[in-house]
Amino acid sequence: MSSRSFIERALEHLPALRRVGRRLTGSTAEADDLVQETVARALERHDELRDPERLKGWLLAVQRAVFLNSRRGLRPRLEVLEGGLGKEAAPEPSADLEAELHAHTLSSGMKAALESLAPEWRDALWLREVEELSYEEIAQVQGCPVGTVRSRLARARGAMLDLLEKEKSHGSL
Amino acid sequence: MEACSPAWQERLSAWFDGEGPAHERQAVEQHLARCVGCAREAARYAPLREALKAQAATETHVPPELRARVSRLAPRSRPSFRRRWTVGLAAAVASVGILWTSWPGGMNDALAMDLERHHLKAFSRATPCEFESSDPDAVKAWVAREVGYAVDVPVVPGATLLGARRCRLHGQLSASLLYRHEGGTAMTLFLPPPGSPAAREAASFAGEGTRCTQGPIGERICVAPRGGGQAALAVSELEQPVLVDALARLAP
Repeated sequence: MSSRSFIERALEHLPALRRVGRRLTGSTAEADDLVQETVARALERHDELRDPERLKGWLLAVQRAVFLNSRRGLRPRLEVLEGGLGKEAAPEPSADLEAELHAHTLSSGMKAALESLAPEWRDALWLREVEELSYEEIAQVQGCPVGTVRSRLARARGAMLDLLEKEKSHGSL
Repeated sequence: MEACSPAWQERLSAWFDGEGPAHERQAVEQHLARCVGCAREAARYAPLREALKAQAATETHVPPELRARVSRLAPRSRPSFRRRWTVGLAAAVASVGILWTSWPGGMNDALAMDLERHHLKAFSRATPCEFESSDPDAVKAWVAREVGYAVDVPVVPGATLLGARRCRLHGQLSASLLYRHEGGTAMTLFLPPPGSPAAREAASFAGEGTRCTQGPIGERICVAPRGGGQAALAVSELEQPVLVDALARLAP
């Protein structure tokens, strides 16, 4: 793939890079800088891309590496909080939570629930549900085994649903 | 109500994603037929997915500025070999002592990429400079204070001095001076610290005279040796003679 066609294909994935970049940096301006840096770094290495069909996952993996390199020494490494959330006895699910989820997709409760997850769980959930990466691609992005991705996703889903259930029982969903 | 156990929850989650081995998927389907807790859990996965997708649907906008910044990373179409050779020869003949080379070859690719990225990244910002001033003395004082060594800040005819930024070349803090030429074209002069790896590498590339190349992203890069392992570098999409002239304005 030529450099020019690589950039053209990378442009298709800017929304995903920007969304994930915002979650990594917490800032739109920093996310935009990160996206530019990511594509520049990916361009240098694009010969390493083995499967062009997996460009999006590969770009997100490059983005994470660029981000971690930029933050190395600036903040503690992200902690893996395995098993820390939502493991207490879950409240009885309400019959209409599904409908509530449909109706309140952008609620503050939804955002808060997402933000309260361990970063690795949240990222895995986002990469799967929104960016539609396979487990293998998520493992590449997160630098962990596929089995860990599987576990993170199950826990993230369970924790999200528990948190939303709690929110709802407090009348704020 | 029967709860979905953690072990089944993990299998269920993988099944929902279409992942996991076929025998496990079949086992999950059989389990779902008899476990109310897991069936209930599975029924909540899809709305959760839709809710997250809906959240993301509000985040699909990419500002044109970001698209332009990324598009500029694409190498511009370079002239054919014959044309490059002719242009290079003409330039060399026109400017004695000035060599022209075509990337790749000559300059360290990592250094060339760093130079281009710093240049493009700075000028993609609303305020390209960390320190803004058109006064060479003020810029010089800022560089000495913030970067830690003295630099010459030339007045470049036809260009406005915007100010300065710090950057890292080969991991070492370096000064860069930012200019905008008439017509709006940006130019950065990089002045790596004397004796630094970037300065030595650039000086080695330049040899005895000013030498120009095209970076991997497509910007033009000219390097002027300054003696004692020092070098100054100009990066821009401007024509080579303009960059060479800017470098020549630096005090010897």
